Amino acid sequence: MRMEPRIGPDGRDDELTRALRESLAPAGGEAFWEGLERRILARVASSENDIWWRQFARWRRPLALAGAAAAVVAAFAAHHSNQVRSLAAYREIDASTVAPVQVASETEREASRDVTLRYVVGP
Amino acid sequence: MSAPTAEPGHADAERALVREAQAGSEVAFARLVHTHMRRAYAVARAICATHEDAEDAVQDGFLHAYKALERFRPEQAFAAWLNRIVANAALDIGRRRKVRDADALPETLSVPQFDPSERSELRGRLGIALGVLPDRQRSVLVLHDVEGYTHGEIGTMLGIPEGTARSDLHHARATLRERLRDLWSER
Repeated sequence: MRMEPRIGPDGRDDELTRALRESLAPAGGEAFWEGLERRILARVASSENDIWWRQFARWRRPLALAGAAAAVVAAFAAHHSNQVRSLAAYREIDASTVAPVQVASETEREASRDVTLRYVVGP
Repeated sequence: MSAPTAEPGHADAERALVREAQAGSEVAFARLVHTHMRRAYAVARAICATHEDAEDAVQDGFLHAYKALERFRPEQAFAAWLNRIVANAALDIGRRRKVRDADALPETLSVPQFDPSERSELRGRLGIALGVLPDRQRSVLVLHDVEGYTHGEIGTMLGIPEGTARSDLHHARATLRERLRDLWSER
């Protein structure tokens, strides 16, 4: 800290500066500071609900955990549902004697043959 | 800040404390209040004419700081940031008081008070001499000569250019020396 001449003629720690510091110091010593600290914290606590980001900060960790748990459950459910669906499809294929694709193509071929026959035989 | 020089370890610990407070820790914020309230009060007292206004300014300042904590970047100096907020709160209170005083009857005008219990001649004379200084000059004088802030820091706190702070200090000292000249010649 610089020691240039301050208010009085004798530098920073002269009598005048000390008197000024004493005049500006609060009365009551340590009790004043303890009281002030309590009052500041009480005011801050009473405004707690007005501060959205503090509410968010408080719930950030539980919300993150809940989100992660939901993502794990959703992933498991999707995987399980896919497995069930593919198993059912295989069972259906195993159970049927005629493949659906073959049936469809046979039907189409027969219809086309009928049209040709009707044309040849027809008047 | 030049007045209270922070050690590197202390700065790291404070940064960690600020981060905890930003994450929602009330205990961390309470520790910041405990560490900085005396300095904040000194800044407010330099600006406010009365002890009561200074106390209100400190409370307002900490409340503003708490609400704005999310926007504070921990690589900044917390004390400098807080003191700017407290100085703003003190200036606001001063402005509101001026408006109230302007509306009030002349006999109810408030005058700056500097410890009514003081008895010594020096302190009594000092109180009177400070009372005649313009508000800003008084603030600059106390912040510089009593609290040890630099002109630049005072300029930032009060929202004035550094040169203005320098010139205010010069005028304030000249006025005080003039008013208290006989005290020096007596010694």
